[in-house]
Amino acid sequence: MALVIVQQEEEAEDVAQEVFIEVYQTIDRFREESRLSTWIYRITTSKALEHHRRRKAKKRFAFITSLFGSENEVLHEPADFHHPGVALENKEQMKLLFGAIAALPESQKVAFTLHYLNQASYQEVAEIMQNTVSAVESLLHRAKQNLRKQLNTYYTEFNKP
Amino acid sequence: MNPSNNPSDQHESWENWFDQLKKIEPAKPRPFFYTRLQARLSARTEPSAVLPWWLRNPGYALGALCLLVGLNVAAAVASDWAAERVPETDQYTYEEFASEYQLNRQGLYADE
Repeated sequence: MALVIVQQEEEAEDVAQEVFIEVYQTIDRFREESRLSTWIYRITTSKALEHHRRRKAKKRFAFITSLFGSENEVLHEPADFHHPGVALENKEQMKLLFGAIAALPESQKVAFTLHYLNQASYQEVAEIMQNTVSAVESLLHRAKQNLRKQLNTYYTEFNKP
Repeated sequence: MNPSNNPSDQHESWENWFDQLKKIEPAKPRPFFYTRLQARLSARTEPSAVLPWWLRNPGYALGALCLLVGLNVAAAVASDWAAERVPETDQYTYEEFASEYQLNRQGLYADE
């Protein structure tokens, strides 16, 4: 989950460590209103998004400072993300799909990842995102529309007779 | 994915593409993940060595702070009180000085 959001293995491990620490330190505040897994997913999502935002801000700052001096280098985008769990024959297609997921707005990205990667039901996604089921359905619909738009060229290419 | 212009077929083939995410094996942490996690956790939970042991307890720290504030307030009040006091006028007259050191002229020439 965190790996798909941050799309960098070292950063995903950092997120995983922070999630463990947060759970360890705040488990006494868990009120059992939801399932433990829902609570952990919620922490993971917010930590991963926080990391991702911080990296983007850092990148913007580095770019601005690079305009004013020669010593600051622009942070380069990491190379194309490859999930270690993807089968070899699907690698190319999945690389494109992960690239498109990365470009989605945050809420759509979270809903899509939870539903497709973590196989969470609409109800579970709604609980994790503290939203309604209809809102989740709408988010997923828009996410798929956006992915289709982004991947349309590749889709026709992959489907050439 | 099968090539087709039929919208429902297209929808299905897109769904097939997205469903491939479900077949991905979950990523595993790198070796020694728990060792690194434990080190990070203990680094966060270990009390700071800079502060003395009695200041690491919030009760003691609060007590020390109250004492410090109390002493400051007391010092300020005491200095105000001292400033308000009217300085005593010097009553040390010549006669008193002379009597203290027994410089009574008459006494010196008493035999005369």
